[in-house]
Amino acid sequence: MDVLLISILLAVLGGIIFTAIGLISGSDETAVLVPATLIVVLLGAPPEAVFAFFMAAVLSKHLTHAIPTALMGVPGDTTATPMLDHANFMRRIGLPHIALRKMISGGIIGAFIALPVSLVFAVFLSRFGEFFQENAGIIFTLAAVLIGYFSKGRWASIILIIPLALVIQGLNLVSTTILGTGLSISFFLGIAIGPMFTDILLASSGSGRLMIERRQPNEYKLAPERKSWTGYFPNPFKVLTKKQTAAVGGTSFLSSLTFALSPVGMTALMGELVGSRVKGQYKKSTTSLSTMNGVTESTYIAETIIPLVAFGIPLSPVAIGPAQALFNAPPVFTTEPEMHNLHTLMEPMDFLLYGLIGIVIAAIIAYPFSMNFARKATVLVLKHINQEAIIAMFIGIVTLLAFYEGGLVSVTVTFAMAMVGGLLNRFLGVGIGVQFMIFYGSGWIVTTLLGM
Amino acid sequence: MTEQEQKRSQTYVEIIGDTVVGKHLIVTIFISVVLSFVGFFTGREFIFPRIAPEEMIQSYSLLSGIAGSVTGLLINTFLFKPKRTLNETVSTNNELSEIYEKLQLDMEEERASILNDPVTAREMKEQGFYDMFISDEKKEHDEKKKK
Repeated sequence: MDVLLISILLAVLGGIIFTAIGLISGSDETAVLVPATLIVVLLGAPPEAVFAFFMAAVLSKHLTHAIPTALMGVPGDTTATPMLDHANFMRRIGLPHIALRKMISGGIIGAFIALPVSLVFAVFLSRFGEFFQENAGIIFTLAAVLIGYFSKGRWASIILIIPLALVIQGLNLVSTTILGTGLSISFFLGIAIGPMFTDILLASSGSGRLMIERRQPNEYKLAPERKSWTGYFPNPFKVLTKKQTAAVGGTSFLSSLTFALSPVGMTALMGELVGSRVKGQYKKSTTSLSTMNGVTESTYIAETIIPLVAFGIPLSPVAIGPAQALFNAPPVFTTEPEMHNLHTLMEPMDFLLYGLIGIVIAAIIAYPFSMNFARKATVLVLKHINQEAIIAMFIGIVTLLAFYEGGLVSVTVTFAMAMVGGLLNRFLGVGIGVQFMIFYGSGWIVTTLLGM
Repeated sequence: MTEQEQKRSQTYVEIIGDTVVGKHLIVTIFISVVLSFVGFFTGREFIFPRIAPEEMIQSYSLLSGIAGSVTGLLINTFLFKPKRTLNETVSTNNELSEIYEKLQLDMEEERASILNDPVTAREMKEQGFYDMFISDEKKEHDEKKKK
């Protein structure tokens, strides 16, 4: 069969499967993308088709992960965790469907910017990658100061940067001593469930319970929907305001250059930086959400394409995670002793063509689906799914993912982080974004200050 | 106690913005965590060692664990009714102000930011929730100012 035809077929398949998987909250990208890609590789699909499949899968998953994030307040996956704060605000004021539309429209624009930009940079700008890689610690620390200053906590956030960094590194030291390796998923899961865990702690404490006790069940308002487009396929540029489109474009462009940083970190950083410059909570939240989802797409695509095209060895967090099967899937693809993978088998133009096939197909499948059914899905969730079940699923999945990373040690670390982060967030206004930045900068802070 | 009285004396706690009953929450968390791990360990110990390559067992088991969580969600959904009430109308201005106050946000600043930005104002009008943010008095006030 023709390579082009197989690519299209596999992209359609990837688009459909991962549109559905994105709906399941907490589905870890590495855990679902690696096995799926591996199966495609091992079944003998041509490299071009594998790439188209992967791109379609990544884009559709990241478009639909916005659905649980916006509608239930449960992160669709780890890259969605920085969006929780703003998504919860939009849910409280009865406009979760607006949040969702903004997010997925940002995501789709981000993807189409990232593919060509990251390809061009992969070809000749790998030097910049090294600069960012070497200075990641200080960049994240400065970002923590900046984001902290513009957050609700302001000075408390800034004062607490060093102590919190020390707490995080201390926890990490414990896990390193026991397991032999440091943890990462456990920390950002902990940061993400912090606010929820604090509420549960308050409910279980005799003195705290009074703060959150209610006589009446909450009433949820959901604003009626007006479709702002005609037909089935909406125009993302009309869903976002011009300023939001510019913010998405700019941050997606920038994040397409920084292939060596963590996608979760980039998402939090870009979203908070853009959001901190916007006045008014509605505008702040919608702008941050569209930017963040744009950045989750662009970092994912850039972090896959740049190492793949420029080096052929997995040199980014995404490349060693979800995209690893594109580099190394023995016996089909190998990096050692001889490099035989997409890097050697495809030309830059192939990456552009088959990458485009992947994201165009994913866009056709996942984008109108989530845009058209956003509010219907919200009503369904609000009417039939109780909050207890959602909280329980969240805790179940988080415990499972933490256990997957490092057994009981990880689970304990996750809840310890949740306790610290949640209380700081709830009582001192130290935002989730600031905490993420501190987490990523903590290694550098502790090493520089205390010489660890 | 009759069921009616029980309902009346029922108190709720608010967890991430929605009301729940403490006892129900304990039951659902228990079900969800147990099923997640049942899924994970069944996959790791019994199913995948037979059919999957060794380096993939852990990843596949995570998938069966997530299947367990989803099953937990379904069971919990049937077990308890949601405690929230859904009202499909736009929040009134006062209700929104209350929410803002609870979240420690400044409603006045919000209004100013919308009034100063015709693009956002138009977006809100098109979507039908402009009145939720901008009260009638405010509008009249502004119109007078224009005159």
